Amino acid sequence: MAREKFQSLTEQMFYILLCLRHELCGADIAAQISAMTRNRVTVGPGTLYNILDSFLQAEMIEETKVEGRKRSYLITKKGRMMLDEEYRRLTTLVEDYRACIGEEEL
Amino acid sequence: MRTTRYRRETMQLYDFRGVEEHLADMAADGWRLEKAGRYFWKYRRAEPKTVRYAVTYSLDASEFNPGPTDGQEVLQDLCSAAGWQKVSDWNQMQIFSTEEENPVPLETDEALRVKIIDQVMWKAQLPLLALSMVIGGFMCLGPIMELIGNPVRYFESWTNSVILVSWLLILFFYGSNALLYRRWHRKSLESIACGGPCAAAGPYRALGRVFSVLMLFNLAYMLTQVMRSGTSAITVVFTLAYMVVYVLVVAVLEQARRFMRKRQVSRGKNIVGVSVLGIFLFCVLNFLLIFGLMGSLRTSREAEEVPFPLTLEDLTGVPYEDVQLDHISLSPGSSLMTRTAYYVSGARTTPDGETIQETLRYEIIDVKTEWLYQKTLEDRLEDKEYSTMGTMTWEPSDAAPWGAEQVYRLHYSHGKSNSYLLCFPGRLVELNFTKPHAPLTPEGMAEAGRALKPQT
Repeated sequence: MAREKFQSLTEQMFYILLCLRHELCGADIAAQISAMTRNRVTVGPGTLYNILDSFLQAEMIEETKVEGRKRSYLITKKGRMMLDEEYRRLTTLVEDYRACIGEEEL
Repeated sequence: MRTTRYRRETMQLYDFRGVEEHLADMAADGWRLEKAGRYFWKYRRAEPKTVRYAVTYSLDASEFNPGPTDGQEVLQDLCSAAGWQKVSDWNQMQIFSTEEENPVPLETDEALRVKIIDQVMWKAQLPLLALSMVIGGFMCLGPIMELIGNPVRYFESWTNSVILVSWLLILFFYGSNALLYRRWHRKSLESIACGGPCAAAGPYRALGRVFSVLMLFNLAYMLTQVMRSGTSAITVVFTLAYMVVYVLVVAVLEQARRFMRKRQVSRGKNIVGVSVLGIFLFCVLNFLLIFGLMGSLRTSREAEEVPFPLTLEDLTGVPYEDVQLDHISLSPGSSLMTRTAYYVSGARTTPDGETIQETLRYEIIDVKTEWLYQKTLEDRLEDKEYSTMGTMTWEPSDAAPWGAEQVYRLHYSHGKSNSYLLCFPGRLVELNFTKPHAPLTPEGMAEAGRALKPQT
């Protein structure tokens, strides 16, 4: 779930945005996330549908192509900013972890 | 062997797990869901098999939409790519199935699932629940105010109890369902915060069964009261016909919704059309109920032959000519109270050869409980009458000649009237004898007391 409207991203949201650096259709997003995480992260179709819908409403992604019922999506500038923000947050967490654990181990 | 089956399912929209498990059980028994309708779910016979069902929700779905929305189609394609086939939709709930051993779950984010379900509930169900509860509360208000302010009037008609109990039950049912949903929502959030799944739905199905049984009891009580107060077959037939017509109206509304869907009428117009038609048909139906039932009660009463406990001849011991008898049930009555008025008039010739017209009117009030008896008596005694003869009040009178427990006589400013209030165990009788020239004799009082006291 979007943690209080995208203040931070869930793992599944993070990977969806990461995949949408390149134009992808919905079904391919789920497959790419599974491949990228070696099946560690799975996004169910119901969850994917609702996340894509909320990202579209928040203008974090845009619909780029509609071929029949097949729709493709791409990350927007706003989405990219969110993704980068999340990366920085996660990096900060890792750095803090390293700083604390590193001190203890020294 | 039948190949289709219709079932009335009582699942709640938020109980996705209940729906999934129920459909899997049905498939194992050889029945696959074909269509989840508003009132009945249609199943098709199939080979008993292990089938996995999963549900998800689409916020823009509606049973009033002319067809699947773009969002529903996108969802269906995503699910199809993951090996799930669409079975049916039920309001915003989208039902899928698969026979794969280890399918990808439809939902992989429990917190998001709860959020979407909450949005669906606020969009589709909770406002209707709230509206029903407001209407229920409003409908209860009148009978409750009367029960508190004027219990005698309340118990004069069984309809007050039936209406009050019906709306209280509806209020309780909808209120409990709303509370059960909020409880499920809160427990799910707590569970998810600890890394667990959504909570199990509460005992709403048991609650539904209790509600149905209590409503049937209320219906049975209503029918017994209709038969008791109306007695004739026409009233019972009318009541049953009303119920059948009610079901027909619901069916007509459902057909109207489907017809407009097929004609590709937009969601908004479909909702407005069905609502307007529904309001119109229910207004007509209630008009028929109020005037038809009252009419049939009156007709049945008038057609009855009722023995008169007391006549003018009984009271005076002399014969009368041109005797006219009439009686009326003053209210439908209830299992705690009945009120019936009798009216007798006739002409007699005095020893002087003069013909005088006399009338006797008495009202019998049978009351089953002591508390209500006292309330009715107080109500009568406080009931002052105003006439050209001044203010009339009830004053205690000698009860011995009547053989009653207590007797009150109506006094006006300058004298006594021929109106009496007789108190017997479980019965009050207000008697008015318009004999212009003389008061009642002790023999007449004794005869009236014997005739009007409750027959054990």
